Amino acid sequence: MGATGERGAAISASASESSVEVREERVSVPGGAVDRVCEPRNVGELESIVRAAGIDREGLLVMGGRTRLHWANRAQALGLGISMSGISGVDEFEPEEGVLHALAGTPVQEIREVAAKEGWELPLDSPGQLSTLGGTIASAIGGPRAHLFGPVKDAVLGLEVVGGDGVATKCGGRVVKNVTGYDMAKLYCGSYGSLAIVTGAWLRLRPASAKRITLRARSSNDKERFEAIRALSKLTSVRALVWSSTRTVGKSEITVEFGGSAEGVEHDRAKFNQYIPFEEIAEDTVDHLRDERSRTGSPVALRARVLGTRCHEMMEVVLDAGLRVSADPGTGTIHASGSLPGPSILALIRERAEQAGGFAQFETLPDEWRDTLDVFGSLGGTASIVSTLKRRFDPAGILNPGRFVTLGPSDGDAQAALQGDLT
Amino acid sequence: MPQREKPSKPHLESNPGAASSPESLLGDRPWAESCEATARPASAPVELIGRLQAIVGRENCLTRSGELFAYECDGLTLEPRRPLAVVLPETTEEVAKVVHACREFDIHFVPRGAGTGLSGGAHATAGSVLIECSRMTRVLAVDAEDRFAIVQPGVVNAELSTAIRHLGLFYAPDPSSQQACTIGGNVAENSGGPHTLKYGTTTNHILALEVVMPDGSVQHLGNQTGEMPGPDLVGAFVGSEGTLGIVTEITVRLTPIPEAIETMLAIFDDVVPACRAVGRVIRSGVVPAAMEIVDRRTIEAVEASVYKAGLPKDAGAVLIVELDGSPVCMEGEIRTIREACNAEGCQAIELARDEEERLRFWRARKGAFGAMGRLAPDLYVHDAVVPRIHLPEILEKIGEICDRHRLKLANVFHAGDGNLHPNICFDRRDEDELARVIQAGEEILKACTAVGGVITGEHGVGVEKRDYMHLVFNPEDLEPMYWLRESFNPDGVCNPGKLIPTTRFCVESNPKARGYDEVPL
Repeated sequence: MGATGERGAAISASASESSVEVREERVSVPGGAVDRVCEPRNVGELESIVRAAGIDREGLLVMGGRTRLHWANRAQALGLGISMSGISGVDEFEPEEGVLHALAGTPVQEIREVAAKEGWELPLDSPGQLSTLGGTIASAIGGPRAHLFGPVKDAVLGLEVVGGDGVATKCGGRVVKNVTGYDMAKLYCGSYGSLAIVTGAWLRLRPASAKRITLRARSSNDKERFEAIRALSKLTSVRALVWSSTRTVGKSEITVEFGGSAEGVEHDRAKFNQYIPFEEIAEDTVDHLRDERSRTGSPVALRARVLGTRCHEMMEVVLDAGLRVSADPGTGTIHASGSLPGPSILALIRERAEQAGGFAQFETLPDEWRDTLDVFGSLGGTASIVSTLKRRFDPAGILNPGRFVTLGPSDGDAQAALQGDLT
Repeated sequence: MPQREKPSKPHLESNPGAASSPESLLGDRPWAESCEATARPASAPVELIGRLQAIVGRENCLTRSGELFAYECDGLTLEPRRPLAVVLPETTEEVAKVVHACREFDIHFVPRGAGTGLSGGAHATAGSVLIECSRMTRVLAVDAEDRFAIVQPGVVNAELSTAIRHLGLFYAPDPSSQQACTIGGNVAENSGGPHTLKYGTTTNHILALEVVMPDGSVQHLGNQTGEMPGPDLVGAFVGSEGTLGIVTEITVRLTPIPEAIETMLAIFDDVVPACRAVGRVIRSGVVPAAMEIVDRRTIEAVEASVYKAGLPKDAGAVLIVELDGSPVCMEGEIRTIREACNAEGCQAIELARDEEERLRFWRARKGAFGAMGRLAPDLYVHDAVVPRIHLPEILEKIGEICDRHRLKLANVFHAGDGNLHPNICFDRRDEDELARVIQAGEEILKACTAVGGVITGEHGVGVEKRDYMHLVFNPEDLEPMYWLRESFNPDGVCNPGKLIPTTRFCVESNPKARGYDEVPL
C-alpha cells in the first residue's frame, strides 16, 4: 500500500527522526483497527506524522477522549492511531475579554473549570469527564444546554488545524466578530476530522449565571402537555429542558435548568409551577442526564433532530419502536436508546425524521447493520461538493478514511470519484 | 506536502476594456487569475446579450452606458468597473439560465444585492455580467411556530422584520444599511450590525440556502432545523462574498421580539473611559443587546446636521447601551450599567423614557455616517476588530496615525464587539490627501492586527482588503480557502478577484501589484 514499498516506512522514519513515541496498542473501531498509536507532543510532530502517513497512504484514526470512536461508519484502510492527549492545555485566557485558547487534547471539563474560576462559563456541553476539545469540535457534540448555548460552532472563534497534506493552518481569530476570509471553522466543526485534524481553538465564553436552579416534574406524555412545556422553554432563563420517557413507565420526567439573575429565574420558575408543580432537585442533574446519553450500554443509540413542532410526533415514533427517549424539546433533539430487532426500524425512523424537517444519526448500532445503514445520513444533492472538498483537503485520503459521511449508492459519480482517490 | 496541481491557465487573454494588461503585471505566474481578463470571442457580447434578453426580458437586461453607470461599484466608490450588462432576474430558473449563458460565452458573472456593501464585493469586473437580485423580493413562506421564513435574496432586511412584526417576530441581524440592503447581500457578506453583541451576525440566523452554483446547477444546502449531516456547507457559504455561487432562496431564523427594551445614553469626557466602561459591563455578566460609542467629532457632525440628537457639544464620547429581554430583569441590569459607567467617571447617564427618546438616542449613532457628509466630500468607512481590552490604546493609536497624516478622523463603533469604524473624511480630488488616506488606512489595519485583531468585522474583504489578508493569514493559512473556493467555483467564473488574493504567492506584500488597480487602496 505504501508508496515507498515497506508499509509504514515513512511514518517509522518520521517517528524516529522526531522521537515521537509509536507504541503497540490495538484500538478497534467499526470496520477496522489500528495496532500502533502515536502521541505527538506538539503541532510540529503532528505535521510530520501526517505528512509521513500521506507518503505511506496509511489511514489515520484520530482520537481525542475516545468517547465516540464507535460513532462512525466502517473504517477503510486504517494504519495508525493518533492520540491527541499530548497536545493539551489551556494556554491563553483573557478573563477581561471572555475568550480563551485551548489545545485540542484538553478535556472539556478542564476548560470549564478554568473558565469558572474567573466567573465565565464555557458554552460547550459535550458529555462526561473525558471528552476533549478537539473531539467536541470535530464531532460537534452538544448536550441539553445547546438550548442556551447553540451549536458547538457558535463557541468557536478561531481554529488551528493540520490538514491532510500535513500542513498546520489557522482560520478565524480571537475576536468575537470577524469576516476576514471564508469562515473555514464552520467547515471543520462537525466534519469528524475528515477534512483536517483540529489542534487548538479560540473559544468565546459566556458570563456565568448569577443564580442556577434545577426543577423536576412528572407528566403524562400527551401532546398538549408536551407543547405547553415546550412553549415555556422559550422563557429567557431556561438553560436546558430534558423530557425523559419510556413506554413501559408511561409517565415522563421533565427536568428544567434555569440560570440568570435571581429575579428572572424566580419569575420563570413561577411560570412553570403555574402549569404543573415542579420540585427543586440537585443543580447538576442535567449533567447526569447528558452523560447518561453517551453511556447507555444499549446496542442501539440514536440522535434525531427535527422541527420543534414535530418533536412530539417524532418522540412517539421512537417510543413506539420500544426505545427510551431523552429529548430536548426546545431544540427538537431526540436521543433514544435500547434494543431493536433489526435495522429496518432505524431506516423508518430516519425516514420519519427527514419528513419532520431534519435527520437521524445512529451513534451506536450492531456492526453488521452498518452494511445497510449510514451512521450519519444522506448528503443528498451535496454529495458531489463534499466529495470535492474531501479530495482537496485530504488528497491522500488518510484522515479518518470511510468513517464519516460516505456517499451512498445513489450518489453515483461522486462516490466513484472519491473511491478512486482513496485507492 | 503533496504538490498541488496547477490549474489550467484561466482567462488570460487580454480584454480590450481592461485598464492595463494583467499579464504584464502578473509576470511569470501563468496560473494567476485576473479579474480583468476574460476570454471570449469578439462576437460574444452581442450574442450573449441577445440570449440574456431572451431569458429575463429586454427591460430587465441593462446594456446602455447610462444604465450601467449606476452599477460600476457598490458602496466602495473607488475602483469602479463597468460591466458588460446588468440582468435583473426574478426567479431561480432565470438566474440558472443566465449563469449557463455566461458560461457558454466564457464571461464572468458577479452577483449583487442592493449594492450597499463597503468593500467592493459586488464590484463588477470589466466585461462581466452583473446579476442583480434586487427584484427577487418575495417572502415565500413564514412559519411562526417553528420560527423561520423562506425569502428570495432581494428582500430588504428591514422590510422582512416589518412584514412579520404582527407575529411577534423579527429578523435579528441589523446592519446600518438595513433600510436598503438585502438579505441575499447580508448572506454574502455575513453582515453584522449594532445588535450582534447579543444576537450574533447573519451566519447565526441562516438555516438553509438554495444556491445557483457557478456551473449553473441548483443546490440546496442545510435544512429548516439549521443542522445537517456532513460538513456545514451553509456556514461555509455565508460570508463567501458571492464567490461560491448565487443565493436564490434563503431560510432565515426568526427571533421573538423582546418583551422589554431599555436604552441608555452615557456621556463621557473622552472616548477612553467610555471604552473602559464597556469592559466593565462585559465583565459584570450582563449581556446588552448593543453597546455603541460615538466620539467627539462625530457628535459635532451629528449635532450640526438634520440628525441632531440633543447631545452636549462638549461631550468627548457617548456610549449607547441597549438592554432587552424579560421585564423583571431590566431594573437590575440598568443598575449594573449605571454602576459601570459611573465607575469610569461618566458626566451623565440617561434612560430613554419612551420610544421617541430611544429613537433620539439612536439618531446619534445611526445618523453619524450621513452627518459626516458635512465634514468633507468623501468618507472612507474603515472596519477592523480588536480584542475589547485593547480598544482604549488602539483608539489613541488611530488618532495618532490620522493626526500624523493630517486627516480628519471620526469614530463610530460597536464597542461591545471591539468592532471599530474609523471614518476618514477627505476629498478624493486631492491626490495627495487620497494617498495619505490610503496610507493611514493601512497603518490602522496593521495596528489592529498587531494586538490580535482582524482586518474586517462586518464589511467583508471584497477587493478593498483582499491584499491585506497577509496581515492576518500566512500563505499556508490561505491555501484551504482556495480549496474551498475551488470546490464550489473551480474555474473562477463567479465573482473573480474578491476575498482572497488573486495570486497565490506573490502580491501579499505589494497591494499595488494587483494588476488592475487604477487607484490603489
